[in-house]
Amino acid sequence: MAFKEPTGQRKPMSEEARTRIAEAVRLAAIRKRESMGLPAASFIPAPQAMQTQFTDKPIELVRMKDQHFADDLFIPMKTGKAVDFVFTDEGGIPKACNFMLIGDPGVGKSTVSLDVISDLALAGYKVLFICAEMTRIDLYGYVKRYPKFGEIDILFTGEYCDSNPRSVIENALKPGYDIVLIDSFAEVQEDIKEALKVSSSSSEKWLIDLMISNNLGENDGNKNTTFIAIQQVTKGGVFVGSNKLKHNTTGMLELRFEPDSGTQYLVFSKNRRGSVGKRMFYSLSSTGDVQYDQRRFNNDENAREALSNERTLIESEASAFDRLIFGEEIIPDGYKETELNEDL
Amino acid sequence: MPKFQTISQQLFDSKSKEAISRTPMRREFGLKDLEVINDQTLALDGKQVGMNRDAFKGLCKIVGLPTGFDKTFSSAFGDKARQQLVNRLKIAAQAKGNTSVSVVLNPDTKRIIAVQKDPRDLISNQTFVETSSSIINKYGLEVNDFSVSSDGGVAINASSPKNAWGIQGLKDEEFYGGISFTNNPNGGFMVSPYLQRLVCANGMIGRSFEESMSLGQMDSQSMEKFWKGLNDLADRGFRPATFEAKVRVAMNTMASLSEMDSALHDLKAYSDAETKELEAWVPLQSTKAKFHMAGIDTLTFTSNQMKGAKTGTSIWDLVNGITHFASHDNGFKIEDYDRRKLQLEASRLLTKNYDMANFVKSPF
Repeated sequence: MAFKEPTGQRKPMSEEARTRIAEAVRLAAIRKRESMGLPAASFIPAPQAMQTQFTDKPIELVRMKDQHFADDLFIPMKTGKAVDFVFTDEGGIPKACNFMLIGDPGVGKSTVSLDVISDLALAGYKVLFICAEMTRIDLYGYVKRYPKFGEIDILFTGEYCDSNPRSVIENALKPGYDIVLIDSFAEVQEDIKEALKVSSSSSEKWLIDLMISNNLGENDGNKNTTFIAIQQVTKGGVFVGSNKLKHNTTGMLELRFEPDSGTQYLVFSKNRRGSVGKRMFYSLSSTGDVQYDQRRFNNDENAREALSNERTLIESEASAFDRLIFGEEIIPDGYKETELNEDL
Repeated sequence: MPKFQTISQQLFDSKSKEAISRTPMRREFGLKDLEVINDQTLALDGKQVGMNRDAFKGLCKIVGLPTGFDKTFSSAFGDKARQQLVNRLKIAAQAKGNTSVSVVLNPDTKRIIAVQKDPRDLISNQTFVETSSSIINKYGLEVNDFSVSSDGGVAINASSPKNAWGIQGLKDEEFYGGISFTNNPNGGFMVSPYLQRLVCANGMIGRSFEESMSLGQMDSQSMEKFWKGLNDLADRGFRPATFEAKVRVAMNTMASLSEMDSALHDLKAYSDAETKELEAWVPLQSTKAKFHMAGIDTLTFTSNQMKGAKTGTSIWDLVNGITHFASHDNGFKIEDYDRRKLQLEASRLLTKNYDMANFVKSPF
């Protein structure tokens, strides 16, 4: 028998063959379910439904100078608490953004985010909490400790098991909100995936698209909604989510423990609308409100500013050193004459 | 009662400007670009620049040569061999990953006054003045004095009459609490309790108390620790925790001849006063005269015998002698910054292990 040398190249499968194999797999799955006495074939979607649908959207190149948005869109929503200055340097939660909130179990993700949206509700903003991880009874305990949580509108997705979760969430968002908290992104995504029998990426895409359309004010109230979505992390603390999700995230807010002092803080590791690395320490020990350590935050900010000034001074001292010792002008870009150098 | 002395805002501002203009210059160099010519000269990229003893010690420390060993090595093998040793160690340090150092220059004298691992080990006088000012404002302190040394070292003493406290049972021992801020190329930014004795307005910088803190880096965690330490000290009216106990022991312990001699040495080192002129602050001559009258020749004492010779002056009196000399204009020439150094020496004397600490009476 003649042996054919492997070429290292694989012949691409034809579209017809691909469809034939997928159909065979589908039928095999249906037969297996029937042999096990399970109900029927309609739960197994046709291959086409599992695939990502691409459309030929016409290409539109954008020039930002031709874009017009209302000035109001760039005025952040203020809670009136110290936490405002973690989100943006001018203070407040920016509109039309998507923030992911991650942290270890027990660090206070739900409590801190509920505290933020409750304060916004008290400030007159329209808020919604999409709660996929807790029941009414679970949340009742929270409200005992933080009565202000009782004032916000909540959608308990677990109460709509027999409904199409996609329609439930789309309808809930239809009136338009200033800010929506999703607890958690992964749970809502999983609900959609299971109920509609679609892939993880499809359910994620649907949720991201929904967030983006609401960012753009595509709702009855024309509200440019901001989303805060709690997301899960791996045991190593790494964000769970696709690249698409990461790219559509305005900021990644992390809640962390500081082992030395046993205290907790929130910090942005990515923030398109504000600074990263600003740590806001908080305490969940008292009732009523999450307590933010404004004093420590201010001290940290002063230290950051001083450090930044020091870097500038070190650069100018080094160039003055060179002039004095080597008699050369080695002046870095952007260097300005300082009082120190004038004296030299 | 002596007046509580403070300086005007105008003087504070002009001293701040002087401090900023005298900021030493920091410049990072690769270790490979440095060559030790001798303990007083360093070549930077081939250019020879003078350096002081502190700078040489700083470089030895970075390359891993223990302080003091270089002297022993030098006396045994000569300066040339020591120079080669330091340069060899420099290469070894490079191999371990220590690739750069920060060289600190006094712009007035063009001499190297410190060699450090990182430019950020030294905080500029500008940041020092800004940080000190914010602390002074935060705690409502008043500035008693502000001095700048020729090599860019800065010292600010601040206290407040609102923070007055006493030592129970001792009538004259009442103090104003405060903070002393110092920044210099070799010690960095340090904050220590500052104590002003009401009865004579003598000031003492409590560097040796555990409340003293240095601010090496301005990162968030270091700053938080720093502010916490300051808040704790402020909560106690700026009174060092062990101060009262130390004063009581110092009042009941006589100084040794060695301690008295050392105090006199400090006063002479920082001023133009002669031994006999300093008798009012450190009565060493009259003390030695009493030994001689008793037929004891102090001139032949070894250093250990000096430590074992009890005087009639208490440690506390000696401490007050130094602080009084440092805090008042007694007609001698003494730089402001050196006054602060003497106030530090007084605190070192108060907190050291006294030579007579274990002295006991004997029936024999």
